[in-house]
Amino acid sequence: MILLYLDPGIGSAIIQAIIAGTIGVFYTIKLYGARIKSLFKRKKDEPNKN
Amino acid sequence: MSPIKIEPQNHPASFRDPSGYIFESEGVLYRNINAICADDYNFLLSSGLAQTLFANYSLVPHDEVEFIQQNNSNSYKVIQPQRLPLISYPYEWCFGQLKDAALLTLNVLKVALDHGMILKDASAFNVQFRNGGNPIFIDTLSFTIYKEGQTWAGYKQFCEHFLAPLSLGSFLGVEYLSLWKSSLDGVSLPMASQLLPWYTNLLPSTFMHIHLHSKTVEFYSSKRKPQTEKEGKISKRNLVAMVDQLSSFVTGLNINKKTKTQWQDYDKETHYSEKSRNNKATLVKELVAQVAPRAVWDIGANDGFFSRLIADERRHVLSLDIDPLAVEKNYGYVKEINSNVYPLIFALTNPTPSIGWANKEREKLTNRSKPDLIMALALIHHIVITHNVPFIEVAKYFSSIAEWLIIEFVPADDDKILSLPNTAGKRTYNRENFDRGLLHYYKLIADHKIEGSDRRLLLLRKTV
Repeated sequence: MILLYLDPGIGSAIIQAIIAGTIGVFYTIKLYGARIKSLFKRKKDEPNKN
Repeated sequence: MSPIKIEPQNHPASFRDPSGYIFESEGVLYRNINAICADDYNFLLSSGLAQTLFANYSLVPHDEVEFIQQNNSNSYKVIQPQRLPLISYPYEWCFGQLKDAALLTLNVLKVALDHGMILKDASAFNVQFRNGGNPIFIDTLSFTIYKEGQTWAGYKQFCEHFLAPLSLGSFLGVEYLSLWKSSLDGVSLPMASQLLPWYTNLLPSTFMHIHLHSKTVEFYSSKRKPQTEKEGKISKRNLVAMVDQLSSFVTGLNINKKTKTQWQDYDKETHYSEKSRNNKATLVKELVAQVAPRAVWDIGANDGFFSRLIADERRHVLSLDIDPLAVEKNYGYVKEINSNVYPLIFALTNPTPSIGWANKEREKLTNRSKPDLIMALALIHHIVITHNVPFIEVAKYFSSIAEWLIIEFVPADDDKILSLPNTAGKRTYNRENFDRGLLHYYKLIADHKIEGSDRRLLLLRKTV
């Protein structure tokens, strides 16, 4: 157990978990979105390379 | 090296954290690490985290020393951190300084997570400035070993110490940052939530981290705390995503453009011809060289032009001004040129008090900085006339702070004086009374006329 000099607050910990979860989902969507985008980009670029 | 055996003096601000404390012995600053924190401290070193943070000056470097403490059987180790020229407090910082301190805290947290550690807290007092413009983390004992799923215990403190005041500064005005001074813990979430404009409920970051956060804390504060650890779990990936999101939110916060203050455009107003200004700069440099001080307070520094002029590697200057936007501008310059200047918000007529436990936890500025020289350029008429403080009182206070004084005297018939309010101080404002008041505590060393004006620049030394 960590000894803390400040009370992190149960409400704060709960909302932090919810916020981090929400942001995590958005980041994942963003990440996959970027990957999918880059997939299409590569496909588009390929004919030019040849 | 033989162990040092001296009775230490614990620092009055260092008692809350059970992991250790700061103490001073023979003028040297040490940090005691208690046995309870031994694993965390060892992991900080063995994980390579400390070295990474030392390398980019994000964490204050330290040496381990042998130190026998008579009264502490819990001590594991004693370290000697590199001493910084000045300890300043968040309520003395401008918006940009608080913002940079916030970003440093988040960056340190992220690097810590990379190395399997996490910050136990997020106190703004854990950040100081090195070479004026570079924030540095000073609490070596803030790091603890990260356990998968754990929440960041410092999240609420981060929101109170940084996010709430920065949001208020951004959405309302920088004057709201002064709320910091009325509490040792930044701005409470309910207060920030109440003060922020309604539309901040529609912005995801302010809605989540301030409004919703505040409501949830309030809701759960009346509930009995369960003794389980199931009060929220976060995967490391999500925690890192939240830290990134907080960083981009803080990066995007800027001073509210509507903020207008008295002195922000002082520099643009022309009180001096170019010739006078150059001559004043030459005289200031010469007089400072004559004194050769190690520490200087430039009171009423505005954007810090003269502070930067006289600062060098061995001489640091506290560049003090009452106006948050002038300090902001000053900080911007200091960041650019990496100067040994410390811009701070400071009101001469209401100086930073000692606050906190036993009035010792956060000390007044005169306890934290002992300058050899005070520089008061184009200042005394404001104090004597606008604030009605007699010359003799100014001399008494200044001479209690520093041995030397460089002071500019603006004659009574100067346009600047004529535009000041008609107070009792204005009626008695003249060179004769100036001399009478000042020479009560000082002797005159030099008195120069600033070319192209009737203003005078004086060097005075305190009489013993």
